[in-house]
Amino acid sequence: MTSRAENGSQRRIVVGVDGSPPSKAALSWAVEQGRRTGAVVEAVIAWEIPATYGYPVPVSDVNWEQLAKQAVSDAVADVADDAAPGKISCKVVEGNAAQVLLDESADADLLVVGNRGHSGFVEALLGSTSQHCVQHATCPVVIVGDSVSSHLS
Amino acid sequence: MAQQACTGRILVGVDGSQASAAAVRWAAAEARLRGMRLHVVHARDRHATDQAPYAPPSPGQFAAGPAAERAALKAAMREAAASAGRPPVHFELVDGPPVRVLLERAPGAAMLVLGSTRSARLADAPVGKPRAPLGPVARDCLRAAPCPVVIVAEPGVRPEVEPVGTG
Repeated sequence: MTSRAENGSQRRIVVGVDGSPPSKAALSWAVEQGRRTGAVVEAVIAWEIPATYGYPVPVSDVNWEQLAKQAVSDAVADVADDAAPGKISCKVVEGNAAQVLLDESADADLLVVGNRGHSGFVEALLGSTSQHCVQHATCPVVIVGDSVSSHLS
Repeated sequence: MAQQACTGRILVGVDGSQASAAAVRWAAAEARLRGMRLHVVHARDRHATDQAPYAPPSPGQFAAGPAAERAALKAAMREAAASAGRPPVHFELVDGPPVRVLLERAPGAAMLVLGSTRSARLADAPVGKPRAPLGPVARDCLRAAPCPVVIVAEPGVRPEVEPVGTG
């Protein structure tokens, strides 16, 4: 954990963003943390073509990657107005959200996720993505709820 | 309670495991970075036995308890003392259910840091049953904590390779 910072490489914070309020809270927490620790913040959004059941739904006119790109840049614009913009990079990756975040955070110092994204049951404890991240990540995982943003100083 | 939120503090729950030692280490580094105090809490649940809550404690019931509690807290103290820079640390040993004890102390904390033992998360889960992502304490803290919760994994354990299902 700390060895990555000690061996001189740049500290990295990976944050999962899907445009949902908890993910924006996670992003602003990560930006604040990056400012404190001098780490670069990498906002990662994953997209995949939604699974359909039965008859395939024609969705060829939807550019999922473009939507994802839009969502992450909107979130960064929302959150990072007062942050140094150069410190936040956006990354759009095709794949399962949890797997993408785990891959991206493999050599990061911290992985930050919102407690629930767009999918999942309202009453579910953690979103499935957060759950997988907590379970499998090699770095510490920070789970930020959307109630937390008001606690930020 | 005696905590003031003014200088900021980082709350850590410890249970004496390797994972909670890693949590203390991480939290100590974080506290130093932020110029905050470290608040290390170990809750011992006297009712976490198989006895009825109204049963009077038998003489030998907690014989192993205090020694284990002291060892747990001592280990946490060692971790905190070994961390360079030494942020101010406040140790607390509390009687009560860990979740309640931690959540009572969470308001005003910058974050709540908990360790997560990987074996408890993955290996012990019965095959075919949905695996609990975390222990019960971390799980309930995640649900109710008013601050961000940091889960620090036990060090030195490579994650098990497991395909992530979609959905």
